[in-house]
Amino acid sequence: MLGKLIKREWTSNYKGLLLLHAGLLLLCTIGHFILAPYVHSAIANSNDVSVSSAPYMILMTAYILAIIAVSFATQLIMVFRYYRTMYGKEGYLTHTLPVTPVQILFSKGLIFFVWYVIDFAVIIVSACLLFSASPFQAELLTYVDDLAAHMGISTGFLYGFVIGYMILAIIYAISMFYCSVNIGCLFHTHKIVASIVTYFLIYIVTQILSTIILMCTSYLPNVLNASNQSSPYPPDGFKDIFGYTGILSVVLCIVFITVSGYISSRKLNLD
Amino acid sequence: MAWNLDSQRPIYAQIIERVQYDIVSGHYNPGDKLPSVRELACEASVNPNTMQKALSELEQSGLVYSQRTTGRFITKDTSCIRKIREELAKQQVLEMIRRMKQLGFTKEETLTLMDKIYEEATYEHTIGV
Amino acid sequence: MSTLLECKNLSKRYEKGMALSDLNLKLESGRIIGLLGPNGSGKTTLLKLINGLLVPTSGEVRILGNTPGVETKSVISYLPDQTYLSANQKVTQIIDTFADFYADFDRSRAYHMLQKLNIQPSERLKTMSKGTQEKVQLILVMSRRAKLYCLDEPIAGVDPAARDYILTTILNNYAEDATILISTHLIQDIENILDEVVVLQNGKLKLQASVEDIRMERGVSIDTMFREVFKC
Repeated sequence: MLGKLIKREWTSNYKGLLLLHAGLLLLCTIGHFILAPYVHSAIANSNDVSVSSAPYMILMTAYILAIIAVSFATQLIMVFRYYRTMYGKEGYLTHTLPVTPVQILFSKGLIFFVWYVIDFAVIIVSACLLFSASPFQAELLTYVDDLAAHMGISTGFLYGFVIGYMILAIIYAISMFYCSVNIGCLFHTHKIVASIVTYFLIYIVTQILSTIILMCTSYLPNVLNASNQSSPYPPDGFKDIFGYTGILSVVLCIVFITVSGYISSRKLNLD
Repeated sequence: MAWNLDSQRPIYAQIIERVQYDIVSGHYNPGDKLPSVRELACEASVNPNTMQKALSELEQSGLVYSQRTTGRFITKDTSCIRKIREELAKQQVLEMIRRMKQLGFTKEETLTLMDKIYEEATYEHTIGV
Repeated sequence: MSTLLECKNLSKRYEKGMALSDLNLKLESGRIIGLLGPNGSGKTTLLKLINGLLVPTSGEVRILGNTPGVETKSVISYLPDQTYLSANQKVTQIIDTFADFYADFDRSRAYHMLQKLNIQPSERLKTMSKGTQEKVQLILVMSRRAKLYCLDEPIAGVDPAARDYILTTILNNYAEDATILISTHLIQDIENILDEVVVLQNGKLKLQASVEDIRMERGVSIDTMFREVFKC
């Protein structure tokens, strides 16, 4: 059943989203050829100011806006699909299928996750196209090695950590969206407005929480210990920041997912 | 096409009447196989349970019998059919007598009228006599 | 004959009041049952509770012994009184979806009914008139070999000729281990195919009786009885 739900989620809007992303890649390929002269001349001559010229700035801004628009549209489409199939008219079909609410949540979250990853990959490729750069340049790689060494961890661990953190961030974003929709739809009228407001409220609250944690675990102790420091960077500060807020993110993810599951199974009231 | 059933009276009773009428009038011959309950229910646009009840009562009255695997059949007992025919006819006559009484006709007036109408109708082929 | 559906002290509260109050009801299998009542009497609320689209405020509803969940949804076929399918899809795609999720879905029956009603399977729902969309939804629901069919106003938006076909279809789908629960205002049109009626008023059970008993005892049709009981 779960496989069928996943297939249903994917086939529902993959064509449109694929087209959107393919269009963006096409646009940025064109952009590559338009912007390349500016970039090459800037690399060739250090005095060249063509990259700060108006045409370049305007074009580059337009392309970057296009990238942002596609990314934003992707998220909007996916969140709106969740709303429509859970609490809109199609909710009647979704909730009478012989599946559990957990399966529904998981299948939707999974496809959203896949689109986040596709979106991210397309953004990277588009950026590289626009900046006439390659993500695999040797200097970048050695920089990564240096960074890892400085932080006292292996390069592999750094890569793993970054990827792990990105996965967490995506799951966090998706579960926060879904949780907002679920809470917003507890209201009988103006469900969409309520969902948006809930999203911003949750965002504010979580930001406050993570700031408090940062203050307590990293900043304050380090300020108090300032006299004992010789290096400008607090040791382990990097790890601390990501460590504690990472735990907060994981906890919040669990909260969002649990709340979503609870509301969609125990508190369902379809109009 | 749905049978003409009056929702104000129990349907199963009307089904019984209809089947009796069909048998007596020759629409079904003695020994004929009846359609299945489901088919009859769809034809009459009635609930299958109601149709089943009607057919069961017809079985009890002897007009219809069932063989376990093959279905329901009209009885071959012509005396039974004749009895039903008489009963139905009697009901029609009683009803007519009642109505004529309401209109103020005596027995003699009624019989005279009946003769007259029969002749006219035969002459004009109005009622297929 | 066994108990297919049972409501025990089932209540549902909304902001505006109690949609259902302490409803106690038992429905047997192998019956065609009319769910009647004036607007706002709780008919749609009851159907939604049976299908797990609403959660009871108190009490419970059980279908074949289970509260609404995966097991009950596998054996209940529900027709809401509004369009609930994605309008962009073609009929064939929707049939594929139903066949995918419901093991009891009969494809050939669905295509046969579509053909009988002159509906093109390759058409998209949004190009169809509202009446045709409703017919498609009904066909999908009746193509399942379910244990309980919940039909909310199946013939209201449909022309009289198609109504006859739909009623015949409902009769054709009768099975001894299945029950068809029809909520409707068009009592006259369907009363001959009903076994019994369940009448709700203000969220409470007003009457549950066999239709033939009502005709025998009161000497009136169900439609007439309804009008008498709920005279304004």
